[in-house]
Amino acid sequence: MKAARTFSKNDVVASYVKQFESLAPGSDPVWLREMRREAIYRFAELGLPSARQEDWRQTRLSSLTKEPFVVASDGVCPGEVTGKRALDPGTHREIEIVFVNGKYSPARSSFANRNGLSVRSMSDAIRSGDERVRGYLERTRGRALSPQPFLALNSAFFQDGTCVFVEEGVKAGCVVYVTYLTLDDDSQPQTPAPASARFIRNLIAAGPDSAVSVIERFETRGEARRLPGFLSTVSEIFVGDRARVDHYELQGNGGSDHVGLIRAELGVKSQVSSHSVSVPGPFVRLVRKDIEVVMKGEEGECRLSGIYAGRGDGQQVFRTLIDHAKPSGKSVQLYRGILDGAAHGVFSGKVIVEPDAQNTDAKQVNQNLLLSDEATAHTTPRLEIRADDVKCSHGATVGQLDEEAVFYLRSRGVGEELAKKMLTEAFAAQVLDEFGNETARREALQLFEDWLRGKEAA
Amino acid sequence: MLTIRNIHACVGEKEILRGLNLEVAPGEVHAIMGPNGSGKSTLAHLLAGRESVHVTSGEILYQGKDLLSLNPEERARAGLFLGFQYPIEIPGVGNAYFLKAALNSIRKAKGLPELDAFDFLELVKRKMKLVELDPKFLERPVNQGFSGGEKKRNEIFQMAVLEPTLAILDETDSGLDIDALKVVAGGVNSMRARDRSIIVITHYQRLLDYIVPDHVHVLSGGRIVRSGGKELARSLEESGYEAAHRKVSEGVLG
Repeated sequence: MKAARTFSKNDVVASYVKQFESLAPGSDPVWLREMRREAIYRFAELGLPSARQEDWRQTRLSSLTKEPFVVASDGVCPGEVTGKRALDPGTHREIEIVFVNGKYSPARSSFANRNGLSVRSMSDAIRSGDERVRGYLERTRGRALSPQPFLALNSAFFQDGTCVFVEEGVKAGCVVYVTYLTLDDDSQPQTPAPASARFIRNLIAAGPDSAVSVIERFETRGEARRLPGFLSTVSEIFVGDRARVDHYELQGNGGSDHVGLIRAELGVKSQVSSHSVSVPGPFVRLVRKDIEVVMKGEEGECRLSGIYAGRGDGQQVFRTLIDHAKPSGKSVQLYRGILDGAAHGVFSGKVIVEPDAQNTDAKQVNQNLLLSDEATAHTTPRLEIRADDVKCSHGATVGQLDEEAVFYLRSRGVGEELAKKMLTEAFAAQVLDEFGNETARREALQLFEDWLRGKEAA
Repeated sequence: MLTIRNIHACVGEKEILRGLNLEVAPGEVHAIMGPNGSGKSTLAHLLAGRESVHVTSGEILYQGKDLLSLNPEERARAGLFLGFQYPIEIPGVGNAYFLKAALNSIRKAKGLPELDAFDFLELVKRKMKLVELDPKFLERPVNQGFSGGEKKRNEIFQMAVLEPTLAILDETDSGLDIDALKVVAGGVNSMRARDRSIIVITHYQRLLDYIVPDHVHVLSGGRIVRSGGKELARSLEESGYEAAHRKVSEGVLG
């Protein structure tokens, strides 16, 4: 009798290294090839995270560490999308960059030429020899504020993504839509393919006194929602002095486990916001999002908000780290978890106030709504304050729907199910008030409502 | 309309209502008065279907049907309305959105077509005038940031929109200044009708100067200990609940 093969974590690491070595050299320029090589070494050195590491203690990594994923090769079957699966024709967006199954789709993307605003796929930007791409990617060389094995892995393997550059003084005044569409491919014979890994790398750089909004949408359709996989995303955001970047990540019902990192660097008096809604499908085992912001200039401002909702037995982990390195910075965080079924939500929010960062104003709130007996939530606020003249607050709650509110609604004739739905929606909608962009807010609400409705279908 | 027969009910382990009887005929306004802790709010919550109130014995008939077998929304759809003593704030749920859902649930149960947004707005604007509530409250979350008086007016406004058959107003006067009290009472009076009964629960006689009841009951120790006409309220004001209760202990029933 031969037992099914079980992999150790080292096997998984070795598999990625091996896959890296067997990759065709492709069209990468030399600097990128070197950067990738350095990154895979760093990944091998860091290894996969373990529950013994503080930052990963609560995260259930087994789906990503039990067996290796196959790195999706370049040019995976985007096919020509026709008929019912064509992109919503009525929703023309002035600036939209579309990826289908990880591959950039110029035909579905649209650009308006604007002076000082450049939106391209990462692969195009690299191919064009744009020195700025190299400059920004090499600036961090795949290192974050904390050891991030998945950042290293992403740096080694990223296939494509979006590059947004805004030049000094340009207030784009418009919104850049980025759509990552995953479709099942019925043009191919239905052979059970091994679960694949996809790596996306985004870069947003706003020059001094500029402003831009970027809305990232992850959409999975049809049977693709049932396919397991691994999605790794890294978005790096550089905000120049007095500039402003508003970033949104809208994630609907997909099938892949997702490990994402957003890191932002702020200059003097610059502002960044990052808002997310995450409603993964029932087959997703892990969504892990890290958001790291470092305020390198005085009077920086950062607003983070998010809704995460789940009802399978998967886990969602949101970890934020805000480094107030300079004086008079302000940060506001509001995250809410809505957990049903056997879902597990984790929020770990850390605020560091460095000795130099007097007059910092930091606020962090995480609230969780448990809709079933099996759902669980963990929340850990962590403040490291090394300056004395600061205002820092944090609040965390885990609770159920307010019975009195449910009764009030029912006493007016509203049925119990609808009453609970109204209250659940209200709980989420309050976070959406943080979303400054109306389109993003509406789409986020739609995603959440779809999720709520899914409950009825289940 | 409503018949309460020998109701015993507990909240937690504690028995609050101890053999309460009450008969309310269509079109009547009844006032239930009593000291704090006498069971007034428990009675109101029991009628509306609050799960935390457990009936241990007795029965309640509403329009000839067993009220206790209905859940709160079924009672509301059958025409019962509770005006809360402490209306809860519900952040994130818009007043108009909530009230439209409520009204349409009730209309649907009655076999009436649902009101669309336009007709609904027409209706609520008319009803808001009744209690002098600013239309801006429609877009606000339910009761959130409302003053005490605004919350109570919002309750009467909801009642006016939902047009119940039996309304129970639990200390609607508490926390109101005299002007607000007049407005609220005016709203209630305008709802008086031959086929609608109203139970006004209050601690003070003051409200009954404006909403003149047909019957007044004194609730004490979980039972109705005295019943009478509107003049009973005034005598209570003068002699206090103690005296009323003492008479009962001495076997002199009102």
